[in-house]
Amino acid sequence: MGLLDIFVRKRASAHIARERLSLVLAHERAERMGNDVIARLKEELIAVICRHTAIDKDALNVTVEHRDSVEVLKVDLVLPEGGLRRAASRA
Amino acid sequence: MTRVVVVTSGKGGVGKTTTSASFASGLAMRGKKTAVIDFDIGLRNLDLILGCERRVVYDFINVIQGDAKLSQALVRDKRNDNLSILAASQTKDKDALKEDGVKAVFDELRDMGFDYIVCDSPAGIETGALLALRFADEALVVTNPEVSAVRDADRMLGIIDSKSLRAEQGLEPVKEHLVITRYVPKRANKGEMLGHADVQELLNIPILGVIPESEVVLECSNQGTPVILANGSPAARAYDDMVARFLGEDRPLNFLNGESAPFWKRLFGG
Repeated sequence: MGLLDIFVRKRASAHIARERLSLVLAHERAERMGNDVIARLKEELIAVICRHTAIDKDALNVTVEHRDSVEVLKVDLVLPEGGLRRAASRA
Repeated sequence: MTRVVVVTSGKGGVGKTTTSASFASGLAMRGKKTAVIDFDIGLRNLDLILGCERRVVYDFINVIQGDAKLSQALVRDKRNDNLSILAASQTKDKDALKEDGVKAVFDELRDMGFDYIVCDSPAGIETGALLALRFADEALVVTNPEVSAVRDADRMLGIIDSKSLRAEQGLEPVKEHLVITRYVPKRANKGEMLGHADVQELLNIPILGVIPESEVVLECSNQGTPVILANGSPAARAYDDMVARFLGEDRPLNFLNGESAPFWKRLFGG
C-alpha cells in the first residue's frame, strides 16, 4: 500500500458513514417498534383485566428491562384498596 | 380535492424552507392553486426566501386567534397568481399554535379551492413540527448526505408513522418522499460523501429529488427568489424535475454525474 493509498482511503470515508448509520438506524427502529408493542400490550392487558376486576388505567405499568443478556417483560399492577376480591366485586 | 404536503427533516439547516419555496412555486407554475405556510413560529423566514417580507401584514397566529381573516393574511406571490403565502408570527409565543386552530385554517383553505397546502416545518420535534405534519397526506423528508441529517430524517419518518392523523386513525399512511439536498456528485462518486443510493437504502423511502450543491441557492436567498426560478442552473432544474415527479411525470435523476457547465459558460456566466 503506497502513501497515496493511505491518503485516498482517508478521504473516501462514505462507507464508514454508511456502516455507522445502518447500525444506529437499525437499533433505533427496533427500539421504536418495541415501544409500539408495549403500548399495544398494555392496552390489551388492561382490557382483559377489566373484564374481571375494576382497575385504574394508571395502575398498570408495563416495561421491558434488560438484565445481563436477557430481556424481561415486567407487568406491575397496583390493586385498589381491599385487594382483588374487593376489586372484583366492583367490576 | 386539497392535498396537504409537509416539508420536514428533524435537523435544521438542511434546506426545508428553500425546498418549500421551490416546491410550492413549482406547483403554482404548473397551474396548481397552492398555499405555503410557515410553521416556524417566532422564527419567520419563508417570507424572506420568497421575497414577500414587506407585504406581510397579518400572520398564521393572527388568523388562528381570530385577529384577522385568512383572506387578509394570505400574501399573493408577485410572480405567480396561483401561489399564496401565510407567514409565521414573529412575535407571538409558539404555544399559540393549536391543533384545532390549524385544522380550522386548513378547512378554510379547502373551501377556498386550494389544490395544495404546503407546510414548511420548523426543525426539531416539538409542537410546531408535530402540527406541521399532523394533517399531512404526503411528506417531503429533506436530508443532506451527512450522518446526523440522515439519522434525524429517520427519526422524523418514525414520528410521521406514529403521530400523524392518518397513522392515528389507521387511514392509508402518509406518502413519504425523500429529497436529498446539497449533493456533490463528484465527492459521492469518489466515496467521500454518502451517495444518493446509500441514503435511499438507509431511509428506505423513494427518492423524489436530488438537489446538487449550488452557489445559486445563496444568490436566490439574497434576492428573495425561489431557486426553481434560477433559469438554467442545475439546482433549479433539479427542483423542477422534483415537482414534475411529484405530479406523476417520469423523469430520470439528473445532475448526478458531476457534470460541470461548459468552459465558455463558466467563463462568461450563464
